[in-house]
Amino acid sequence: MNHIVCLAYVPDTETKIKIGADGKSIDESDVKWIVSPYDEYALEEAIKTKETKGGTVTVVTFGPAKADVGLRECLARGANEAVRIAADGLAQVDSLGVAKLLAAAIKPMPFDVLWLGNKGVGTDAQTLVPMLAEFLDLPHVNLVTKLEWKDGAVTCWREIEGAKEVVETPLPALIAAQKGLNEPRYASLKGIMAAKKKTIAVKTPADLGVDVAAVSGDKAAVRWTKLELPPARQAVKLIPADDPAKAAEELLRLLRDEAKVL
Amino acid sequence: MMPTDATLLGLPGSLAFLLVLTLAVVLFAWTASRRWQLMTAGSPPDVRWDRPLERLRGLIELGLLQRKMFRDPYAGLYHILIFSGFVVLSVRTLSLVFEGLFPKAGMPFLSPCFWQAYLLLKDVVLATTFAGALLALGRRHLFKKERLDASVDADLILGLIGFLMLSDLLAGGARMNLFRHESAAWEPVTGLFGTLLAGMAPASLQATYGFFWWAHLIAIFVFLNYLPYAKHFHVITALPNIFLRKLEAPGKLRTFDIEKAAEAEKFGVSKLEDFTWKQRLDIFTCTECGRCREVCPTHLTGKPLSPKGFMVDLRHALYTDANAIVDTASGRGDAKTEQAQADRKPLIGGWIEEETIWACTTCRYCESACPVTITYTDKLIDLRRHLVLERSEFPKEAQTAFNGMERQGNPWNLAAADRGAWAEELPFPVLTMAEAEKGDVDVLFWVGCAGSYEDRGKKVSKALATLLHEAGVKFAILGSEESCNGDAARRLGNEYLFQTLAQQNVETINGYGIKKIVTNCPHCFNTMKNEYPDFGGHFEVVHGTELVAKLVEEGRIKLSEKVERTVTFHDACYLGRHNEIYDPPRAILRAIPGVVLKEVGRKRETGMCCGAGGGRMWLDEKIGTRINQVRYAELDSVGADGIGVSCPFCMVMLGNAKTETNGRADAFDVLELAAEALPAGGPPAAGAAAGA
Repeated sequence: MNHIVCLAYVPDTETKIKIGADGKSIDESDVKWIVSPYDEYALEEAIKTKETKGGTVTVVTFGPAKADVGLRECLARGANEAVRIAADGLAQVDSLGVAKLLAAAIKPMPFDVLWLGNKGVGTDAQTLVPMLAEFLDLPHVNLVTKLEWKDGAVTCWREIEGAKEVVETPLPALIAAQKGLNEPRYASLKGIMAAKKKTIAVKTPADLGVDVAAVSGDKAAVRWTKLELPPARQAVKLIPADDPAKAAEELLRLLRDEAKVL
Repeated sequence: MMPTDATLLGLPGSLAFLLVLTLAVVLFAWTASRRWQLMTAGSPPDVRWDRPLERLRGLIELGLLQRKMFRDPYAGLYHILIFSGFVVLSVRTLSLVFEGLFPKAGMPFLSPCFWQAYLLLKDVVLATTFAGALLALGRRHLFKKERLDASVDADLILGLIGFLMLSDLLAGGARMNLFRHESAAWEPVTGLFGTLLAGMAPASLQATYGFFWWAHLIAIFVFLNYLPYAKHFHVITALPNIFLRKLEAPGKLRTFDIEKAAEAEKFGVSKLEDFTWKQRLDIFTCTECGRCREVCPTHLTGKPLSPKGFMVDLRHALYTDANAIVDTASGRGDAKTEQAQADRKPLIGGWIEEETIWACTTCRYCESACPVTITYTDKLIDLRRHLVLERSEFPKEAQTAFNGMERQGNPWNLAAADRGAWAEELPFPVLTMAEAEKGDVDVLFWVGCAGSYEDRGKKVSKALATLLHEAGVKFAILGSEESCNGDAARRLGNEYLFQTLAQQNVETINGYGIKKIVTNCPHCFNTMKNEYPDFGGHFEVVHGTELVAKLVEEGRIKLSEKVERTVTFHDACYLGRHNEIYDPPRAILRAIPGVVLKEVGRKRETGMCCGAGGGRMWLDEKIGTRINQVRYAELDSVGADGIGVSCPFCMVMLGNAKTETNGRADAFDVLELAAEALPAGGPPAAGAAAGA
């Protein structure tokens, strides 16, 4: 069984995001980059399945040259091949554009399962999974926390509000991982050293026949006009409880006038 | 008639003796060469010939005078009695062998005067060695210690030693009655036995003499050939093992070349041949005395690791696989050898359980207790290295810490950008190296992860910064340029991550041309002082308590506010046993007016671990009782108001134990208390913050 895992190389979840000088992009100077944690669940499941059922795992990303570090991490953990669609020098590409690029790269590759995280932790748009499935004409199951392989099909447990839904899909299919599916492994040094020797196939949008100008910058379906940081968290306010009646009154006032929740 | 004057089984006695002697020597030589090959087969390089004078000094102190043995005076006494017996009586044995081969030759080598003096010495030593063997049996059976396990082997050897002494005395006693010569006066103990046998007929005396003479020598040959198979191999290996001991800082781990290891596709130790010859000499040398076990915090709290058990298991493995290892190494690749190789039990998971490997806190109490300088942590960490680097198999909690160190430069995985944020809360500015004027910084304050992110640790960092500020020391921090020193990664077996962090930090520090560093974390301290030189980091590293104690002594810091507290002090392993810094924190406590220091029983060299070392800080403690609670109970029982520490991890562990067990005494850093005693007041009182 062959697997393709699409992944996003995103700022570490612990990064202090700073807004760039243009006010609509992030300042990348102090950012540490990681493979998006949800994509790590997808990768882990693909590698686990490969280890028990045979086949190969190919990782694909759309990103600048620094994303090669993330791809090598995936190779170190057990992926066989890596493909990067070069984003160097491109204007902002939205999810629709990314879906088109990924679909174009994946189309010629044979596979049984296409894996993604249910979202990247970069923009958290959560739109890539259905769009990619549509472009590749694949059934897709999102938010998967458990799997059971059958001959030519797979049963998936997916999280829905307040319950679990069990669905079965024929293969090939797109499966998007949710937290809880597994615990991603830590690359061994043996794996890291082996990954250093592998080559990463780099493709430009032109190689894939995608007119990137039509899906990026001003032409993108979704354009970023402004970025704002969430308001800083306020310190805890302690209400003196010497007089319970007064304290209750003060609490009401704060909830109504300051927090505006009443 | 001398015993070998008589014919034996139709052969001239001396010829018969020559045959027995040859057999014994050849057999021993064969065993010794097999053991030599077992020790050296496939060994990675391990150079131990540097600093010969220092080695010799240790050999005299630990090997000949047996300093560590006298920590248990009773054992020290009987052991030195037996040891001196071996030394003195070796000459006696040679003389007996000579006499057996050349019964008519007499004693040609020494002048009669010397020889008589030796005979007197020998006679006394025969008695004292016998007494030593009896006392040793007493320790094993009458006044037994927990550290000792019942051992047929030990009883057998002690019995044999006793028999050797008795047989010599009986043979000598009979001989005295047969030949009355002047040396009798020089052998008073043998003389007693002579008196005992005086009534016997000459023929019986001759038979007694012959029997015990032969019995004595054959017992020696049996003893010699039995040694390499038993724990008494230490008779042969202990002195070399002490001479070849580790001379580097005890807390330094071996750095290995990752590129080379990658070419060989071999990381850490997965089988016995991966240990170096010296590590295997350690395994041969263990005498199973259990001095390591009786102090080991993991053993005392019911974990599967006991240093003695670990050594005994390794030795059992080594001896079980001896034929496979030696025959493979000597190129005998026959079917039998291949089968023996295939039948070997795996070292990890077979001989040594993974839980055992992960239990160690690397407190090194075992190593400081071992009378024959065996090291344990190096072997456990070599096994961890294999598990992490080659198999990626380790307690899953460690992964969070690894990821954090890798991505944000701290095991808590908190934002690297916030590393210097603690300093912003101080009433005076703390500059980063990037902000400071070049040449205007005398010392770099290396804050460490705990000092930067952990709530109590941050308070201690503020206390040290305040003390340095008060003393007018020109210092700066690295802020977000600082990263985890890598101690926990290295001790959890992740050498790759450690080396990455070490190289990065050394590059940063050297980039600023820093020559002196102060840090208040003993783990940062040990790594930077002892391990960073391997990576080109050569700087003077001092611990916070060392620097503050010096500033107090020089009068640059005045501790004048009275702090009325009774405190005890807990020694951090990485400051104490690993780097022998015991006095500065105590000096600071004594310098604070009003503080009364009340020491705990296990202190200084014998201080017990808090449970956080060896990367255990980041692992769950699921087996047995919790080390921090055991240590806390001991400290709390002293009856002090507070427990002084000088390590942020000890602080966390003991602080947690106080909460978990509802204890009385708070843990605080001695620097917090010092800052409290500053004339101006200093940062928030340690007492008020304790337990937070």
